Amino acid sequence: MDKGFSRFNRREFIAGAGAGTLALITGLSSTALAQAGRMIMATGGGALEDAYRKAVFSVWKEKTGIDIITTSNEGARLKAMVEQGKTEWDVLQGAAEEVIVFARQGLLEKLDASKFDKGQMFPGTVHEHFILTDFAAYCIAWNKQNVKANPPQNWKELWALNGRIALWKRPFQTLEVALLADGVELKDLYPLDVERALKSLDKIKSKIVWWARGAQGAQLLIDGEVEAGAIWNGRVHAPKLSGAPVDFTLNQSILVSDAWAIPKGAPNAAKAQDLVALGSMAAAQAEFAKHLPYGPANKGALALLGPEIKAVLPQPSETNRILDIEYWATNGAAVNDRFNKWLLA
Amino acid sequence: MARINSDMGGARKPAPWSVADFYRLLAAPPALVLALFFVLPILGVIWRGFSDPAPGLTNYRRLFADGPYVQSLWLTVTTALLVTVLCLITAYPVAYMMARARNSVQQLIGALVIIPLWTSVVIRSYAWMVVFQRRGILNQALTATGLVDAPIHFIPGNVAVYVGMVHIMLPFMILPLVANMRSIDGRLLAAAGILGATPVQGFLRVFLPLSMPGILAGSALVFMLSLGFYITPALLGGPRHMMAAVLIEDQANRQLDWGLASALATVLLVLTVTVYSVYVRLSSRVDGGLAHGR
Repeated sequence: MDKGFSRFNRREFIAGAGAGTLALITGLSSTALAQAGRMIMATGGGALEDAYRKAVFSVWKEKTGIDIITTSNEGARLKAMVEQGKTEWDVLQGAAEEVIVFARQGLLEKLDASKFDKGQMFPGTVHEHFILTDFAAYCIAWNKQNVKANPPQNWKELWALNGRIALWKRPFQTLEVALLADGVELKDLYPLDVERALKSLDKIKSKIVWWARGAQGAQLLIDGEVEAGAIWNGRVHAPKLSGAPVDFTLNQSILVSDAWAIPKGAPNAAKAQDLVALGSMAAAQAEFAKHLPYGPANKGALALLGPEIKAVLPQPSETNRILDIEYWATNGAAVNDRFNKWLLA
Repeated sequence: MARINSDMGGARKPAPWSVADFYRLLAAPPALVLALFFVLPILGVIWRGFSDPAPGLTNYRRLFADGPYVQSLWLTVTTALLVTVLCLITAYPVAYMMARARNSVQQLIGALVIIPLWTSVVIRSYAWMVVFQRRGILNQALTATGLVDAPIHFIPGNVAVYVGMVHIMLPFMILPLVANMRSIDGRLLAAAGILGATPVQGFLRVFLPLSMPGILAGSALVFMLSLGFYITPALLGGPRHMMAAVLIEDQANRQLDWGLASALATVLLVLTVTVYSVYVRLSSRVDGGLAHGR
């Protein structure tokens, strides 16, 4: 009796525990996939996701009866899922300069080009594996209590400002505005002269307060920790309206985009094509712009918006420049290393 | 061991079941979980550092070439060291007080030490931002009392970063110290006094050596945890507070260069294991060390 009990415990218990754990993992993911009537979209969360919910997900639910469940859009998770052949996301949204890296690594499905109204989309917004859905602006903002007169209207003036300047602690967009401050024209930005940009940053190094996250950058400006700086317009738009001592200009801004794409092996890939197409439509993008001050990638959306909303939306023009995501996809790793090395020097 | 051998032997009569056997069995499921979900993935990470994108030392060559990585690793190690030392200096008197205090006082201090752990590191780092910023309460107090004329720029700066990091790591230093100090027999100090030692001599030659196991355990814990600092230096620090964890996250999540991320993580792991083995070596010399196994 004793002997038998002991033997059972030692061997079978270990085997049983192992099998049980494995069943738990595989079981969980397959039940998640088996859920009918819902799709999973990975997003950056926050205000952006709320706007998608109101502008796209609700329309999608009405049309198809399918609920959209959202999850966090970490690139590492996408890569792991695709490598393991266990993709759980149907659609993903991310910063365009990151999504293009996913595309180059072969982690995305091709989009069905016939579903987009290419004539209505701004040039360069429809790619083979993803579409750009909006334009946000990396722009000049200032604290109105700290800067009472003559706020900086271009990057040169920001660089010359007597006070502390907040910048994003990453090379994308920051190197671009450093070149603009050094006198480079918007049309001549790419390919970036990285060394010239770093020299331009050197000139104001002691004045820079670096921010790592958008919320932190906005806080620095609103609390007056800095005099002025660079931030995405969406981060200071609502605080400005609600009376925070912050203001901004879209002049000379760098336009950045969110991209929508379909992960390789998406469980509902066919429906995902329709969802991405819906996200690109004028009506959805117009509704989105009512909730977040990001300009539409579909020109048709502009016709559906009132003048007071249109006035605050970043739109491609001669006074701004769209971030060259192809440049960053090709050179990002090397430039990133160079920029980090410069930071640490 | 003998029991297992006889069990396998078959011919001999198996030894009777014992409580020790049962305890060993209890360790099997967690050991299995660790092997499956911790050891295997870590081996995978180490392997990737040598195999992705191509087998060889490409990733390590890039790591140790003229880039930001060596410098960031150096910065990570020195920051972790400094945080450890500052933690030890701050924590030692607190732990001493706690170990000597009445039970109720001890519980109160214990609660004060542990409660901050319930709040996430991100929130606590943002809270320090609020304290240290130009119009924060610290600067308001300083200017209101006339100690300084103009607000001090604490962010970004060493004061803010180290106060933030030490605050987050303090419990991990205090708790091992207290556990150790409570086991020190107070009568030894009294005996030292009777033999003519001054209080300072008594502390330096009796109490301090006896508290070495606590110092070693706390320092090892804090140092190893500090190697992974991420958000606090990013929020409170300047460009030079770029910890290795930030670079790993960037490579893993954005650049999707898992080979390089794995190599960098492996180097950090090697550093951690090195510190741990030094700790084991040292504490096995000091009687009663946590790693002593007794």
